Amino acid sequence: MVNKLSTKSQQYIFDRSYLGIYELTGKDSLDLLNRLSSNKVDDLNINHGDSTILTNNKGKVIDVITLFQLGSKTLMFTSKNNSQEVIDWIDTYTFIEDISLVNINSEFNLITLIGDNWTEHLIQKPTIDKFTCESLEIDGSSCLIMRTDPTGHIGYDLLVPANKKEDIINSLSKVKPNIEILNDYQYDYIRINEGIPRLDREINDDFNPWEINLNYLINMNKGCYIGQEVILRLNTYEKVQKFLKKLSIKLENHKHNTKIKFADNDIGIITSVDNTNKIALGVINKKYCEIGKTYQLVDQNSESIGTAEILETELPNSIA
Amino acid sequence: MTPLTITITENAAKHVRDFTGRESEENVSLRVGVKGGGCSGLTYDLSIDSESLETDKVIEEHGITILIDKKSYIFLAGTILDYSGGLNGKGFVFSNPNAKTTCGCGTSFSV
Repeated sequence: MVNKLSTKSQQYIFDRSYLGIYELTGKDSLDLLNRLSSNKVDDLNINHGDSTILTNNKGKVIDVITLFQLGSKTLMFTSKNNSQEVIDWIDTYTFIEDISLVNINSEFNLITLIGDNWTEHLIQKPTIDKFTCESLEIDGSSCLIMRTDPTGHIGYDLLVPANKKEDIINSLSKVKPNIEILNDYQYDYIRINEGIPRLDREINDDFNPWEINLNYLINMNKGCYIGQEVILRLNTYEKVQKFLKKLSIKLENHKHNTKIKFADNDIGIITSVDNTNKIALGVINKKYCEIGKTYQLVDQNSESIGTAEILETELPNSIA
Repeated sequence: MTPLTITITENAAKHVRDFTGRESEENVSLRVGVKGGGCSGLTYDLSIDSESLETDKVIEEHGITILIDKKSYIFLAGTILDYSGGLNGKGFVFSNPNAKTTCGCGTSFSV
């Protein structure tokens, strides 16, 4: 089991084929996405990227997307493959803009590499800067390595031909002796332990970016985007009412909609659970966020099903 | 019922003409559209554009040819384009019956 990432001494591989991969062409691509999202992405240089939040006009989160500008085209990664909600959202706000968006998941997959020393095995460089990318060849296949730090530690996303994915994972796993291939469960444990939000758990239109630790993707100086007025007002007037917290849990049986309760009040909701490792993420009313406090967990019928203690949460700047 | 046209007031037409520096007898084409963005989701877009597209809705009024792309027209039908001048003026002003909410600064709207 992966208890804590040892990124200095060990490397990890994780297949993130569940992410949506899109190729954007057209001169207005970045300008349009800049108008629809919270981070400044209209001035990305070639071989540079960034993540940004698509928000609705109520300031709630639709998805977090990552963009890499490759010159004649831009790569866009969404939190899930066939992300119809994102595509429909972009389409709704496309009028006469020159933009074309094509899903390329059938041609390419994404492999995530976590650990400090990956690049020295792959491109003879000690490291590449965050949100930059480089082309490389692995076993004769043209690939693209992008540094995205997906778990908050140094890490890379490797865009590989879909039909070569297994071969490349196999090859990468033999680069050094102590490379571990993570399964979904292990990666999700790391995600929860690091306090990283994920689509359909924390990333959804129930929450605004401040509530789920996406502050780092809000550019306070850029021009207007959908939801900006609400998002900035929440911050200016300190109106953010709840926050994402890591919890130590004793939980009999996790069900969807497990609530956090204090006295007779619902003070939060559990969003992600790893019941084997007894940790969870929850979004909790700000009055009750004190570290070390323990609260009741209840099911939909308000039956007690366990307890949750708020842990110190140093939430990293990453998405899963 | 919302009229299925877009109207430009005489005052707004005069300011479009002043802006382009054209004489009153010359035809001026003004593209009126909607763009995604702004706090509420949609913003108005005005530009001088002599090239009309096959799918454009074309309206002529007060010597101005207004060009509107098909999709924008859905959000703009019934709009009156006026001009508000003076010290407290806002410049070109859209009175759009389809706009349900506008953002604080008034530059964007939702339907």
